[in-house]
Amino acid sequence: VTQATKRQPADIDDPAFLARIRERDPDAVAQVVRTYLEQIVRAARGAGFDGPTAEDVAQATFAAFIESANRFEGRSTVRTWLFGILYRKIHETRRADERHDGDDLDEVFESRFDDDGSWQRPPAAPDVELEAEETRLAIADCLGGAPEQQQAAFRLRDVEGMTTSEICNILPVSRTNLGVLLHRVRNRLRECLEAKGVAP
Amino acid sequence: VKLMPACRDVARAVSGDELAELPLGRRLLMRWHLFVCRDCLRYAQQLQAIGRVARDLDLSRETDPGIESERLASLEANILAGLERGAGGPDRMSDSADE
Repeated sequence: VTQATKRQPADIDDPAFLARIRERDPDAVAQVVRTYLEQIVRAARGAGFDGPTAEDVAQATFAAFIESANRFEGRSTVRTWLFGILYRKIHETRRADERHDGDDLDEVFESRFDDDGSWQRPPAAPDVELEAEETRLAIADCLGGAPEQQQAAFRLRDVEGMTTSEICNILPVSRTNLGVLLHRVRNRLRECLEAKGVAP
Repeated sequence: VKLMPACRDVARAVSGDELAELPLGRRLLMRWHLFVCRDCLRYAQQLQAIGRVARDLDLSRETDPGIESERLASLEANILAGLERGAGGPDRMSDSADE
């Protein structure tokens, strides 16, 4: 195994380094793997897979990355590209157990407003004591009940901090659809936390 | 025609991350609404708080007690063995959004 070092993402997205990736230079590929492997495994676990399955998904992600390396044009960052492959692999792995994206959340959201669109059940004041372990577990539990695409949108936007255009490229969805996914998952979390008595 | 957006419209724009992409006039009205409406401001703050907690606490740790370095090294070796065998063939992925 090549003793590759961990590179900074900015170095990996350097044009000269990208050219080495396209040529499948073993040392360059190894550096990408070393830099992003843990992130990818963690993201796969975060998507709800157990340890061995998450590692399989991560391995399949990097296999696809290596296979398609010669076609990487550098229009996105390597990280965005890898997450794009990852979410495709997650989707493929889950295909047999797919949930429906439609839910009754829209009705719940609408019930918060009167006919004029004003709040009839307004949100409570934000709780500043959100760092409790209880809250973290509650968020993870509530998020686990959301459809796959909604979970992915939330994780990429709010946990990974990616831009909306990066996420549209990764999932892939239109900007309008991403707005719907974020709207649904955030309201799902808000309602779920409120129901658990963990008011954000 | 009602000029000021309703709370429901503001809440939708906030939760869908759409405020920044609205036309200037509409965006200013939405921002003004957020400035004067306590309930909508609270709603926006709640969503921000949920996102911040999720990010700070890194949700993946909930099921991830730490990926042992040995496991990572083994996985890395498996992946790079594929490279040495000569990975090739078609794959659907590309970094180009228009493909």
